[in-house]
Amino acid sequence: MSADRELVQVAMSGEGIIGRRHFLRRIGLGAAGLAASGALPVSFTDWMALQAAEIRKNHRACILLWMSGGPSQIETFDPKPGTEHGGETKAIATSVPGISIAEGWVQTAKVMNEITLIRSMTNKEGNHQRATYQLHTGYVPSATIKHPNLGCSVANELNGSQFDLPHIVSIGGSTIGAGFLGAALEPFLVQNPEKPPENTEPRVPVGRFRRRLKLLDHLESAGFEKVGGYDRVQDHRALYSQTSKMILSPQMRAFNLSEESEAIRSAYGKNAFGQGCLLARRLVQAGVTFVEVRSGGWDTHQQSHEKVGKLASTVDPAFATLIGDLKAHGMLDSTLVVWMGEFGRTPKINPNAGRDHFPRAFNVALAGGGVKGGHVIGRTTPDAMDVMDRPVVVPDLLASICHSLKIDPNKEVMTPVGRPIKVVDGGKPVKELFV
Amino acid sequence: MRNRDDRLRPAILGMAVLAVAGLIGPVAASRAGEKPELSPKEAAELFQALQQVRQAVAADQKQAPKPVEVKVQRPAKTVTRPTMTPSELDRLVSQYLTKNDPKVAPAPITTDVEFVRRAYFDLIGQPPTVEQFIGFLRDRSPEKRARLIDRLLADPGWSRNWARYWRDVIKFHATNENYGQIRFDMLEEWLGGQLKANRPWDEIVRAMITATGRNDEPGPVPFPLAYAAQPVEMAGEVSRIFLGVQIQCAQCHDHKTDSWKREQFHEFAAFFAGGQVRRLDKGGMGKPAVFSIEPRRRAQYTMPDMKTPTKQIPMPPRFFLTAAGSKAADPALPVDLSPDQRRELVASYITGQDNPWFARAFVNRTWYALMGEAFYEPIDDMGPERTARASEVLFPLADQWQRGGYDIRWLYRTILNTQAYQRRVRSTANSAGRTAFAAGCPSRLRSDQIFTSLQQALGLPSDDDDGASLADRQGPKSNEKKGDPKKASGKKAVAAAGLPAPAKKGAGPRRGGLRAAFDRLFGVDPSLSNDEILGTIPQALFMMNGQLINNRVSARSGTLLGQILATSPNDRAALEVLYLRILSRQPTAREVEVCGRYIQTVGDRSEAFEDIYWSLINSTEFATRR
Repeated sequence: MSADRELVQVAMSGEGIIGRRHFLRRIGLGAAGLAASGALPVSFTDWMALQAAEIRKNHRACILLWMSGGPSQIETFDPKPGTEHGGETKAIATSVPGISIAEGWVQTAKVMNEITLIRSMTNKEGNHQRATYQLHTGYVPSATIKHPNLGCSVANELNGSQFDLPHIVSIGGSTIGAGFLGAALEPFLVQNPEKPPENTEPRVPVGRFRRRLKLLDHLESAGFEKVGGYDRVQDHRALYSQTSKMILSPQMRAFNLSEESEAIRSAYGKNAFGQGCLLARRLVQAGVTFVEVRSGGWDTHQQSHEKVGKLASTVDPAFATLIGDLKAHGMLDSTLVVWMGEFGRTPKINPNAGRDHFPRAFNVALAGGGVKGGHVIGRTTPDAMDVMDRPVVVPDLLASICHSLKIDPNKEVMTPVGRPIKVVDGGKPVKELFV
Repeated sequence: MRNRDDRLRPAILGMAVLAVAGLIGPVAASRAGEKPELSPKEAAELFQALQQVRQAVAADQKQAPKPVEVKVQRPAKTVTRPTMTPSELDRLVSQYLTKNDPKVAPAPITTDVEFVRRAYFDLIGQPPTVEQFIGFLRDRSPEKRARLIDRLLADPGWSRNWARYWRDVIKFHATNENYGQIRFDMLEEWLGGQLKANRPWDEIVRAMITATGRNDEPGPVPFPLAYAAQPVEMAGEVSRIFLGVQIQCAQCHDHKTDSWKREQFHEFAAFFAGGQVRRLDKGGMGKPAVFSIEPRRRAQYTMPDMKTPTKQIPMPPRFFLTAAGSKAADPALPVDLSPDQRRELVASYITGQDNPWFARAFVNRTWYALMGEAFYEPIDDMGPERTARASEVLFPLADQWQRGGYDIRWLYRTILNTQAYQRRVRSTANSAGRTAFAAGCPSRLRSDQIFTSLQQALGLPSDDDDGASLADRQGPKSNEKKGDPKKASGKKAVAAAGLPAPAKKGAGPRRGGLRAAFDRLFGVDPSLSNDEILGTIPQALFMMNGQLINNRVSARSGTLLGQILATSPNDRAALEVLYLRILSRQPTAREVEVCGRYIQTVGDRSEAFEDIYWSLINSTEFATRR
C-alpha cells in the first residue's frame, strides 16, 4: 500500500468510516479528488503530498493487442510455406536474419528486431469464451469465483492513487472484468477511439455542470446525510467527485486524437484498430497502466488465407507503428506490447479453405517492457501440429507479463470471502524473453 | 438415398461421442456443432469409429440400467403451522439487543412517509406512485401497515421483484460461457409464477436442482444451464446459494480454514453427474437456438488424484452436512445410481427438514435484503463452520419457517410486521448506528428497482407485464406497428439513452430493451455485501450525462417538468411535486431553503428547476433503500 493511500485512510478513519473495506480501492480513481473537493479532511500540505505522488510504481505499463477469435499462427508469425498445412501463405524475411514471418506483415517485419515471438504456446482450451477468460486471467472459469483480468490485477498492483483517468482501459469492445477485485478496477470501455468515451461530456455548459454538482452536494447535506444516510452519502460523494474530476480533468485530452499529426494518424491506419493503438499510446503516456486494443474477426473457419490477409492490412501497420512510436517517445522500455488471441488455428485446412480452433500449438508476439527482441522462442513441427521444443503454457505467458511489469505473479490477493488467490496460478516467467 | 445432412448426422454424433470420451481433442469437440464437411476417407474412418461406439453402447445397454434400489430412507415432509408472531420475533430481537448493547436504544419507528416507500420497494420493487403515497397517508386505520403489507404481498409486483432478485443471484455466478443458452428471461418468468402461487421454497429449489427439458419455455431448466450441467460448478453453486456453505474451496484441496475435506466436495459433486446440454434447434431467422438439459443414461463421477493428476478416482455420491454439523452421517450411496436418482436424492438432502441450513440460508438472505444487515455476512458464507450474530433470532425463526413447510409469504409477512423491520435508518455517524439490529440500515437499490424508479421519476413508459416485456419474448414481429411504444426500447433507443449495447452476441436477453441495457450497467450480484456496492464510474457518468436523463429533466413545454411548472401555483408547490415523485417524500424546510436560494441565484426559473430535477435524480437517496 502506498503512503498516500494510508494517509487518506487514516484521515477517513478519523472521520468515522471504519470498516468500510477497501474503500478507496473500490472507488478507484484515486484520492486527490476527494481531498480537493473538501470531502475529506486532508490539509493542504497533505494534499500537495498526494499531488506529488508518482502516478504509477515503476512507470511500467502494458498494451495488449487482442486478436479476438483466435489468430492463425500460420498466417501470422509461424508460416509453413511449401507444406500441405502451410497453404498459400508465403513467408517474408524480416529485419532479423533467420526470422521469417507470413506475408502481409511487412511493417512488422521491419521492427522484428524489437519483437520476440513465442511459437510454442500450448493449451487445451478450444472454446472461445473459456479460452478468452483463461488467456486474460490465467485461470479456467469457475462458478464461485470470478477471477480478475490480469490487466486489473496489474492496475491494482501498480497504480498510485493520484490520477484522474481509469487505470485500465479497453478499446474497441469490452473485455474480461475485474472479478473479485471489484468495480473500481473494472476496465473502462472506449467503444470508438475517435469519439470521446460514452457519457463523458456534460450535456450542459461546464459552468452550469459545476453549479449542478454544487447544488447536488448542498441538497445531500441538507437532506439524506442528516437522516441516517451519512455513510451512503459519503460513498456517493466520493464516486461523484471522482467521476466529475475525471471528465473535467485536463488529462481527458489523452482521448483527443485530433491532437496528433495527420502523418502519425495515417501511419497507425485510419481505422478503428489503428486509431485504437494510437489512443493506447496516448493513454499510457498520460499514466494509464493497462490498455487493451481489440481486433475482431480472427475466427477464420472459412477462407483463412484471404481473411487473415485482410486483417493483417490493419493490424500490421498499427502494431509496427505502435512499437516505433513508443520507441520514439522513449516509452518502449517501460511499456510491454503483447499481441495475442485465445488460441491458434488447425494446421489442416478445412474444406472451406478455413482453419478451426487449435490450442495445441499457437503463437504470441511481445515487444518492449524489457523483452529483448529479434528472437524466437520455441518451434513447431514442420506440419505445425505440435510444439517441438520449449513449450510455453498460459500461466508461463502471464507470469512473463508480470515479470516485465515487475509485479509478483505469486502474490496472493484476498477475495471478499477471504480466500487467497494468486495473481497468476503457477507458471514461470519465460526467462529467454528478457534481456 | 438419404440426403447429405442425414448421412452426416451420425458422423457428427460419433465425433461428439468420441470427443466426450476424450478420444479426440477439444478442437473436434468445438467443431462438432459446426457441421464439418468430410472427405470420403474421413467419413469412412468416422463411420468405423462410430460402429465401435454403437457396439459399445449396445453392449452397455444390455447390462444397463437396472434401476438401483436406494437404501437411504429420507424423512417425509411434515407441515406444522408456524406459531411465531411478529411480536415474538421482536421479543427475540430485543432480548439480543439487551444482552449485547444494553445502553443502546433501538431507533424509533418509521413515520408513515418513510414506511410506505420502504414497503413498496421491498415488496414490489418500486416506489409508491403519488396517488398510492397520498392514499396511504390519508388512511386513518391503525391496521394500515399490516393491510398494506398483505396487499403488496398479493401484488404481481411482489413475485416479479423477487423473481428478479433470485435470477440475479444465479446470473452473477453463471459459468456457461454460451450465455444465450441460459435464457434468464424464462427462469425469471417461471420463478415469478412459482412465487405468485406461493409454492414452498423447497419445491422451487427441488425443481431447479432436478430440472430437465427445454429452455424456450418458462421453467427451471436455465438453472442447470447456467452451469452447462457441469457437476463441479453445480455443486459449488447449489451449496453456496441454497445452503450458504462455500464448500467449493475444497474442490482442489482440503479446506484451509474449514473442516471440509476434498473428498467431501467431490462426493457432493457426484450427485450432479450425468446431466448434459443438448441443442434441439439451431434457431436462425431471429429465432434463438433451443437447448435442453437431459440426463445421460448413466452417471459417473471421478475425482482427479492429487499426486498424479491424470489418475481419476471414482467417487460415490454422499451428502456432506447433517443437522449436527459437517460430518456426513449417511453412508456413501451406490455408484450406479442413475442421474435422476442422484438429482432427486441431493434435492432431498438439500431441502429436507433434517437439514437446518437450507432454511437458515433463505432467512439470512431475505433478512439481509429487507433489513440491510444479516446474521451471517457475507450472506453466502455461513454454515456450521461459521458463527452467527444473533443466532438466537435466526435459528428459531428459520426453524419455524422450516417446520411450517417453507411458506415464503409467511416469512415476509412476519418480518415486515415487526418493529425491527419498521425502525428508522441510522448511519455510523450516530454512535448507536454501529449496533446491529437496532435500526434500519440503508442499502443500495437493485438495478431493476432503480430503473423502475427512473421510469416513474422521469415519466418514461413502463414495461409492465402486458407491455414490452411480454412482447419482447415473442421475438421480433414482421410488421411492427407504427408508433408502437415498444419501439422506444429498440437498439437505437438504447444507444441514444447513453446505455451500453450487449457486449457480445447472445449476451443476455436479446430484446430486453432499455431495462436490459440499464441492467448491463447497473446490475450487481445480490450476494455481495452492501459495503461493496458503491456504484461505478460508468453508472455515475450515465446518471450525470446520459441523454435519457438529460432530455427528460428538460423544462420544455410538453415535458413532465414543463407540465409541473405550468400547473403549480408557486415554486414551493412545484418543489413538493418533484420531491414526491422522485424521493417519495416532501422537501424539508432546509431543502426548500437551499432550492429557493438556488432559484434566486440562477434567475431563470426553468433552468433552476431543471438543475434541481437533475440533482434529485443524481442524489444518493434516489438509489437508496431507506
